[in-house]
Amino acid sequence: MSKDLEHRNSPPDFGDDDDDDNKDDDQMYKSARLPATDDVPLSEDEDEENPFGETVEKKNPPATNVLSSSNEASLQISPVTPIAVLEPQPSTLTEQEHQTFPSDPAISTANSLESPISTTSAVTTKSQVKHVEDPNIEIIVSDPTKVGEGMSSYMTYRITTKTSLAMFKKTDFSVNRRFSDFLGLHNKLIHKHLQMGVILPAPPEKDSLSMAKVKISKEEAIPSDFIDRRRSQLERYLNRLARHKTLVQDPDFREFIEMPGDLPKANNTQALSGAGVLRALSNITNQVTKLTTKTSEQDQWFEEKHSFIVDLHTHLKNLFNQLNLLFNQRKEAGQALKALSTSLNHLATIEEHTLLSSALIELANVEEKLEQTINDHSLKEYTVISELIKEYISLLEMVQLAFQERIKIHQQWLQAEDTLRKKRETKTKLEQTPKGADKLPQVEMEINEWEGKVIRGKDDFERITNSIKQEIEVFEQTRIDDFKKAFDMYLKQFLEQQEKILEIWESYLPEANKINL
Amino acid sequence: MAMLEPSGSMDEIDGKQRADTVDLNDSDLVIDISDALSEKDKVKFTVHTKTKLPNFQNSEFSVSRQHEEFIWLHDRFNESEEYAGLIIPPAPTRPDFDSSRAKLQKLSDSESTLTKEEYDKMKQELEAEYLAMFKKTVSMHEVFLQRLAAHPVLRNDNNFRVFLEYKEDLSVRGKNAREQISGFFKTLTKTADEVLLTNQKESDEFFERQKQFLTTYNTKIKDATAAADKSTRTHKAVADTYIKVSGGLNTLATADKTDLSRYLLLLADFFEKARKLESRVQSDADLKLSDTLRYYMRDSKAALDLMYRRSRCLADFDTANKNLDRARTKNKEVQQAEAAQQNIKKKFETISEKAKDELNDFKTRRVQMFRKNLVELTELQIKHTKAQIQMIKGVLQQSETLP
Repeated sequence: MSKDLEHRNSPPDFGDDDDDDNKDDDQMYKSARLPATDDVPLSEDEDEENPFGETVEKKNPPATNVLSSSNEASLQISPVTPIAVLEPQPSTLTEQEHQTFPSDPAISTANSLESPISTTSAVTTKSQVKHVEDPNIEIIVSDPTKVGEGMSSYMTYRITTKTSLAMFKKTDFSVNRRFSDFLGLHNKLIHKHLQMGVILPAPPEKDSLSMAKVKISKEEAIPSDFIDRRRSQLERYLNRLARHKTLVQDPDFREFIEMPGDLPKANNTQALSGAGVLRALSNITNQVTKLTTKTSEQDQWFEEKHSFIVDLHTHLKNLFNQLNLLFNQRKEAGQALKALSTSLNHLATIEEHTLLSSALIELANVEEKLEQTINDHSLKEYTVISELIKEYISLLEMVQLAFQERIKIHQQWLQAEDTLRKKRETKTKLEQTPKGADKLPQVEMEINEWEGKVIRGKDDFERITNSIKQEIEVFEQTRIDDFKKAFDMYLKQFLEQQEKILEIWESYLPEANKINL
Repeated sequence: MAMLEPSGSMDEIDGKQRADTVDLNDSDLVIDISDALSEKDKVKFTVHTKTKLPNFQNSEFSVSRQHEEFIWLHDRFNESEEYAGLIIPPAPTRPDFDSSRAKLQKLSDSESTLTKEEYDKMKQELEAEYLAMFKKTVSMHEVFLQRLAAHPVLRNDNNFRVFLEYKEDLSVRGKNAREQISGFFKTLTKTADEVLLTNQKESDEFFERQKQFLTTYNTKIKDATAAADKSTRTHKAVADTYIKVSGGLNTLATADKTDLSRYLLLLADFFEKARKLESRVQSDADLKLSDTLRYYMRDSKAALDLMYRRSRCLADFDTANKNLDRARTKNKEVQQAEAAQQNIKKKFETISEKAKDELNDFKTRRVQMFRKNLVELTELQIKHTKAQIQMIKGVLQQSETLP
């Protein structure tokens, strides 16, 4: 801590940007605007899957057979990973498997008994256990409902919390919230916590175009894929907040999830979801201000971290684009299969040989089933991997935001010192002139004031520096856990899909063999 | 450029037994294409024959033939009156590597935008594609000859013997411009004629039914072939994108200094393996399903050609009858008219008789080939899917050993 005295003159990584804190109000997060491809709209006809809404408690969202089977499968094969930090991402799985919130290894091993088939029960011994925070709160976002009609309509979402935390009045509760409420919450949290060096999660972006479509659409024809993606992202957002040991205690957050009835409407949601942050960030990184020649260890750490964060951000964006491409291509492949199925059916109707004709019809069925598995898999792929990556792209921007905040605070501190120095000079000058004597008390008062400000500035800087360091540690561990878990689940889903495909072909073989003259 | 190994090693790759696509129930005349060489724009096929038939000079011999010579042979059969009542096996299509070459070109153009790994992998993919196409064209040419060899009548044709035996070039130059144009007009006239003949009164129920069947069948199978091709293409595109995803994961892995790095590498490797398997799946689907559909599209067209020839003959027969009646009433040139009528009557009856057999045979062959290929398709898909499952399980196991 004492080292920080030296650090006060050390160069921060990012140059100074805006001068005052008020900018924070407007400077909201902004999720990644990807270079080429924006978020890929899921196909219009995909109204079936709603993985996140589905839990053992049977929420309303449409469940499909595939969904339930994937739940069962996951219960069998998923590793028993204890929880917590991993929650936000595959809410379906964790909700079913880890209903109670094991906070210590003992309970996790109990869980491992529940999934005997799991060959990966050894996983419990993984290092993940060490970094677990108490996952004693789960949030589900469900039941998107349209309120009103036309351009003044909006969607509300049901926020259901299950928790064992004492600070909440109940263990199970539900409220309804609309999207702008989320933005309002984020605004308040930024206001309070950014300066404390907290890395805040980012809610999904505003999307006026898609929302306009939703608003003007009729009840039956609501673009459900957009809404469902939003719902899923909102869920991830809330769970990330809930996992954060500071933020979960924040009164605004608690009110958000707990208080029934409507929240006061958040104003300035335009500004809240604007495109400012990323641009602002890129401005900053171009202006590196080195205030002294000495680079301390601390700042080197920050510099390395920052550069790592920026690289990671770029790579993730690339990967996201590639996955989007994959998604589109899978869709096309699915459509081609459907067309093939149809044409095989037509061929079968004309084929004179009855057994061959049946075999062709069965083949048409095979192709159709294959199409379904492709669609299912593609959606799962998107949900498990792409959405996580997208979330991290935003999170990394929030990390950069935190870094930037630290620089601002450093600037403030330096400026305070600067002002103090000037005041002292003024005092010295005044002491030398006879007339100046009467102005002295004023200046001395100011000097006191600024001495206080300097101390506070230094404290603020130290606090934010330490806080960010801790946050980064947690962030990194969370990142590792989240991705590992996501990839693991992804591989298992892939396996599931292949097993389904195998089944389909194996049941066709006898059909093909039936053909004889 | 690419030199094909004799059947043994090639079959390892796609498991397809080229020789099995045609029902060879006779060992009197066994033909295969033992080798093929791609030279600039030409492909040289080595046609290898083993025979016990007396009309051949030797019992085993090989000649080198190019695509144009196959077409020449097909035209000889197609244009011969003697075989008017038979289904002439469809000619193989011209080997076309243009699209493959274009893709290779495009790839090398975009070399700078890709990582070395990605570039190498995509190049590998394209080369595999090229090789697959090459194998297919060899197979097509081979099957054409084998169908001829299997046919009790066609196999004895003199031109066929010359094709198989004659060591020198057949000096069959490609059609010059005039010939191409006249060929084009011939097709036009035929099509117009076909239209005229569609309203022909057909008293024979069998042929009426067959005509209906073949026309519709040809249309439907054309659609199915196109759909199957599209399916193969789109799935291939998915497999190719795996390369990109794998590359992206590799980049992430290198940049990450944490434990996650090894996990990412594992996943990158997974995509690479998945890609290879997925490619196999598609190329087998192509070979077994698309190619079967394609073959029968062309074969059903050949059958329709037979129907056309018969129709034309029937029309001519009608005309001859009318002429005869007219001659009799006028009592002029009756003998000529009688002779002409008898001639055509005989021709028509021959065609009809042979055509019946041919059409029944067509059905038999069709059913057999579909059965064989559908079964093989299914078995291959099962095999590949099992391989995928094993692979994924392997990756999952590996992931557990990681920190």
